[in-house]
Amino acid sequence: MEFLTTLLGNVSIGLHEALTLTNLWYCFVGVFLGCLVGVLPGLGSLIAISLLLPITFHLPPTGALIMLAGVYFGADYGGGTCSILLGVPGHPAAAVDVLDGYPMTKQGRGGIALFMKCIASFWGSTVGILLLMCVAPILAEAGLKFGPADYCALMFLGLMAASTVGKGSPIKGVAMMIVGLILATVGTDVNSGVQRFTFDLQDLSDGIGLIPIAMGLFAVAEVVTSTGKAGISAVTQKFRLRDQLPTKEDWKRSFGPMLRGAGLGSFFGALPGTSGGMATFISYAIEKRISRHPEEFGKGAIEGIAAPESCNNAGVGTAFIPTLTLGIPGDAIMALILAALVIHGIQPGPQVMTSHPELFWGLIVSFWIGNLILVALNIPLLGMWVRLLQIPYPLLYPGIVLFTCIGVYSTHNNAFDIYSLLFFGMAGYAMVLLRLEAVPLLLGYILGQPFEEYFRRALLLSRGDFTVFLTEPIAATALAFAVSLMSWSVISFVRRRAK
Amino acid sequence: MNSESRADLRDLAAGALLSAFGVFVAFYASRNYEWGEGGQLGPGFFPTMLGVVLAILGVVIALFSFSKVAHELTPPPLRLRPFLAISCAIAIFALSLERLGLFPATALLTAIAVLAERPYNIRRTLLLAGSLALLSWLIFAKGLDMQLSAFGGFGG
Repeated sequence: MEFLTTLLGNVSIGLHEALTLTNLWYCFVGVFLGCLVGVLPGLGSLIAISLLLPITFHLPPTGALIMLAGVYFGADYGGGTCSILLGVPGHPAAAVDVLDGYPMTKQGRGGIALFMKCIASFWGSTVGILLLMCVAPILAEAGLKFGPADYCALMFLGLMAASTVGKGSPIKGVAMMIVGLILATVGTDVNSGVQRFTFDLQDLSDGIGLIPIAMGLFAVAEVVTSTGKAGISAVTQKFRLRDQLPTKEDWKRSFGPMLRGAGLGSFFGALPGTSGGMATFISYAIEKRISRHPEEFGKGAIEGIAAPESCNNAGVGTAFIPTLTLGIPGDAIMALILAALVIHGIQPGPQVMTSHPELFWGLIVSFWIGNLILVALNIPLLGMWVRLLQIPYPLLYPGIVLFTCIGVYSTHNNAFDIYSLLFFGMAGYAMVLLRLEAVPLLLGYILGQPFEEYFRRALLLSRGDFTVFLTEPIAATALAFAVSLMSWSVISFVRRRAK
Repeated sequence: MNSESRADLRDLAAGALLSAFGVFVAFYASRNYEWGEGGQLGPGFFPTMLGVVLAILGVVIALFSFSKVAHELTPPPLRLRPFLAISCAIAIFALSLERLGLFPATALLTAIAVLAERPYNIRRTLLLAGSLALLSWLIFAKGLDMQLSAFGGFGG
């Protein structure tokens, strides 16, 4: 009972903050812009957030975070629209929507697929957000008791998970994560004031900018990879409201998958390193396994939309649990949101909830409002997004390049940032060619400073005794997980090669 | 996929590059920054360790490139044209933004960036450059109050 009253009290703080006219506006703008970028092929939520991050510099902290979260939801959603209509994943995480969504479009049932996706994603988000509201206070309270060694080890676990659970080689993932950690050391060392790796360049004394790194590695590299490719097929279908309404049969078939998807997604979302669509594919596979007509999967089964979509969005909600309560992000997108917190002068960690309750709860409530806006934007306005999809790429990419340039410039009004963007854009393309993933690098870069900070503080407290990471129970557990995860992924990778 | 009998050149190059970077970082950090003593770690400890680990991982990656390869990620072929066009566009924009102003810089960026695709359509390029410049002026200078001049140098 007491739990419920606290929860309701927190929700009312959140409603109070999120329902102000300005914050509603930021939420709407975020979701709208997120959809706008996300629906374009190749531009996923990571790129959308990095493209729009500079704009949020000009906003107050709560508004900025609400907008960024809106961008995330919008872009994540928009990617699926592209998958269903064009058969080209808007971004890797939306790849699963292609499997059954595109066949549905070819059968003239694309509108229904999109409608069901909208409902499933709203349902999934609601579950994820409710869980976030219930679990976050508990975890934050536990987090207050963690010492620096614990945080250091938990961050290590997060970094390891994010860099090994990928499609590519886990060794390369870890190597890129370390490159990110190294890049984070550039600039003035907080403890000693020593300038590290600045090579006497004044512009580097504050470190390398996050925005040039994120935009260069993702947006610029993506544009370079995608230009010159063959054109995208046009969408000819009409999308009036009545073309979108699912039949009774569709509803009946989607109900169970939506429930199971949300459960699975909530669980995986809270774990580090599981983003990028892994959970959605698992949920798809489960539905196919237990379905009474598995032969329809891949040929336009509505379950193949409902389950992964609800799974994905539940996971988005619970992914915020470790990010907002412990300050430990499970993937690069969460890391970017954390970085936005830091940019606005809020130190992430368990104290955020008590020191900035209106920001914390306002943000969470606005997640839900953002998802509501998403439904409102996508069901009636689907025709508009479809038209947007048809803008030819040659008209689009110069605009993206321009936007990245002005965006990075706007962060410090300094042309040096554009040169950094150029450098990381070129590096990003080289990394694509060499099959080196950029996500672990970004995560390592963002977590680098707090990681080193906790590491040094832990050793200071233990007077230089390195065994502190093994004698503290939480730290030791996290390290054990990290090591077993690493060995498991290396072994399975080597086995895969041997075949 | 790639040839399976010989070393995978992309992996070999990646490993070698990462290793070289790691060696450089470890060497530079250990020479220039203090290692620290006891519980008080200096600024050199962390980068040196990272450099060493990276160098080792680079060697491992390079060694793996000689084993039989079954990649899940197929890398795209190297295409120099878009790479050069877009890199130059960004560089020219960086050079011209503060000297010439937003409109000329945008026009230059657009004119060069469209070279990434063929064929070149001059009318479309001009229209695109104009509308992009106007749009970014409205968003960034008017909407977000950024210090930008439409024409002519500023900042510095």
